[in-house]
This record gives sequence, C-alpha cells and structure tokens, in this order.
Amino acid sequence: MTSTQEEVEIGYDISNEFFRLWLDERMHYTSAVFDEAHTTLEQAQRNKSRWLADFAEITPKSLVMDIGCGWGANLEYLVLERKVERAHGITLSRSQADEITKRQLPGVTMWVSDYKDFTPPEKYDALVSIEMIDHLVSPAQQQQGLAIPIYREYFNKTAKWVKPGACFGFQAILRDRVPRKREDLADLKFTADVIFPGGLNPRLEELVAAAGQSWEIIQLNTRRVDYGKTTAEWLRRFRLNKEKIMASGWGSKLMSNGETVWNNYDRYLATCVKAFDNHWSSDVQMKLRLKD
Amino acid sequence: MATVNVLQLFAQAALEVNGKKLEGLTRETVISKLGLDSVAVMELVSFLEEKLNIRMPDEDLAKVQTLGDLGEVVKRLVPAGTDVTV
Repeated sequence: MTSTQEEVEIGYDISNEFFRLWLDERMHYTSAVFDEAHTTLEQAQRNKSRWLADFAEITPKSLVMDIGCGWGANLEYLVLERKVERAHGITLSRSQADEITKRQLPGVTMWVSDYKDFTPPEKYDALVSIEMIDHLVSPAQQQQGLAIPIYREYFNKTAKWVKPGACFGFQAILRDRVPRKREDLADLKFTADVIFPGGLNPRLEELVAAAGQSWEIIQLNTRRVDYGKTTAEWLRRFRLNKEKIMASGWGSKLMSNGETVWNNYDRYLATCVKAFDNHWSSDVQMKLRLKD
Repeated sequence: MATVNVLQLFAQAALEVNGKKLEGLTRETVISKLGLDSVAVMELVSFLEEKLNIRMPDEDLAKVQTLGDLGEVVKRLVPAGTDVTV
C-alpha cells in the first residue's frame, strides 16, 4: 500500500530543527534547480519553485493546491514571492503541518490528509506537487505490477480537482539504473528501509504511461545533475553539524538517539550523492495540462 | 549450439551467491516469493549477466515478476543460435 502516515512520519518527523540544520532556509526537501544565475542552494531552491509555478501558469489570482507540501517551502514562495492570494496544501506529516502553521503564511490553508481522502472545497486553477508521488507505491506493489495503475489513479484523481485548461507543475524523483555491486545495493536498500520506508521512486516510463489518460505532457526536464548538487550541499551542511547532531536527543521510531541519526543520515546523504552521480536515480519536472 | 537453462542457472546462482538451495522452480515461480531480499535478487541477476555475458536493461527488469519473465528477457539478449529453455 501507499506509505502510511507512520511511514511518512519516520521520514520527516525526527525534529524540524534537525532538518533546518542542513536544508535551505525555507526547508525544501526536494531537488533544487541550479543554473548560472542560481548558484547557492537557497537561490536554486527558489528557482525550482519558479520553474514549477511557471509550468503551472500560476498568477496572483490562481487558486493553487500543493500536493504533499512538506514544511511549506513552496507555499511560502507562492504567497510571498508570486503574490498568490490563496494557496492550499496537504501533507501526511503532523510535524510538517505544525511548521506551516508556525510560519503564519498569508492566504495559505493546509490539511493533514492523504490525497486519496481529500475533497477540494472548490476547483483549482493550478496544481503543484514536488516529489510526493515517490511515496505512493511500495516495492511489493511494484513487484506485483501495480505501479502504473496506482500512478494512473493519482493523475486521474487530481485531474478531477481542477478547472478546464488547468496546468500542473509536477516533480518526481526517478529510479533509473540498478547497481550490481552488493555494497551499492545494500546502501540503496538501507535508504528504502530506514530513511523512507514504504516508498519506491517511479521510473520515467511509468509516469509517462500513467499521466497520459488525463494530462498532456507539455514539457519535461530531467534534473539528475541538479539533484546531485542539491544532495552534495545537504551532505556538506549536515557534516558541519556533526557534534550538535550526535549530542542531540533527536530520534524516530527507527533511530534511538542522535548518534544513530548521525550515522544513518550520513550514510543516506552520501548514498544520494552517489545515486545521482551514477544514474541510479534521477529527477524530473513536468508541465502537464488537463486534457479537456 | 550453446544451451542455457534459466531455471538451473537461477538455482545455481542462489546457491553460489546466497547459499540458498531453491527447489521446485518453474516458469511460474514468482521471484518475490522466494524469500530473497532485493539485494539478493539483484546479485542473482548480476551472476546471470556475468555467466551469459549480457546486460539486462533496467526497464525490462522492472517488469519481471516470474522466472518465465526473466527467461524471456534472457532469450532476447543472448547471441543468435543459443538455445534458451525455461
């Protein structure tokens, strides 16, 4: 089944302060987009949000939904920088929801809800979703051949949330080549089992096959190199805080103390850098338009 | 003509790589139900690739559920004239 609330909270609920140490100031926990004008992590994360807002054709008057809104980084960009008057978000993580509430973002309404259970109060002009789809399919479901039907259900359901002609700025982590060395496979399995249990990244061809019933793919950019840079910068910032993390009381259901958190996240982030460098993983941004 | 029996090769791989004796394998055997974790399965794939001097495309592997499916992927990749049975 899709990642449960408990599984999602293992991935995101260690401590908001923990993630604040090594993410950017708004706490985007997704790939940034680097270019010549956006060279710092902070600039590149804002650039990512800009790409997706442009893909979704968002204006200040658009009613926007951010599906899987994390700690509210993209919502913050929308209302503060794009001057969007009303933006909605859903997340499964209660500590992420607490953080959004604390930010007191003008015009933002947020629910703790599974997308499957969510009923929009009105139809949206635009959708954004950043790497939330990576939580929808478990490894067991993929082995049973259920990945494309589950992604199709997601794309078809979200298509019913929007007005005719609406656009969707969509981003997902992808799995690509499978390594063959035991130690590399073990690192990837560790990430899947300990950091993000219950989830499996889609393959690009699965998303293309699944989206097409309801959405036209207008543009598609892969962001593998960008995610490599993003995770390398997360790892660099993370390692600068070793003593603080080791001495902390942070933990989760699978990590008993700060030392375990340090060891696990050091391995996880180093694996991410290798994964993007070696084409084991990639990332994609898509501009989708509703098929009327 | 070279011959390859995918079921035998898979069982050999499980024994040599994972020390696991698999019996009663058929075309219909579902790989995920063999009690092997994902690391072990990919190690077996790697063993087969090395033995047969092929590289199975990841997009094809993503669709493999049974040993019969695996055999079909192998059939497409081995040199012409190789007799593949599953």
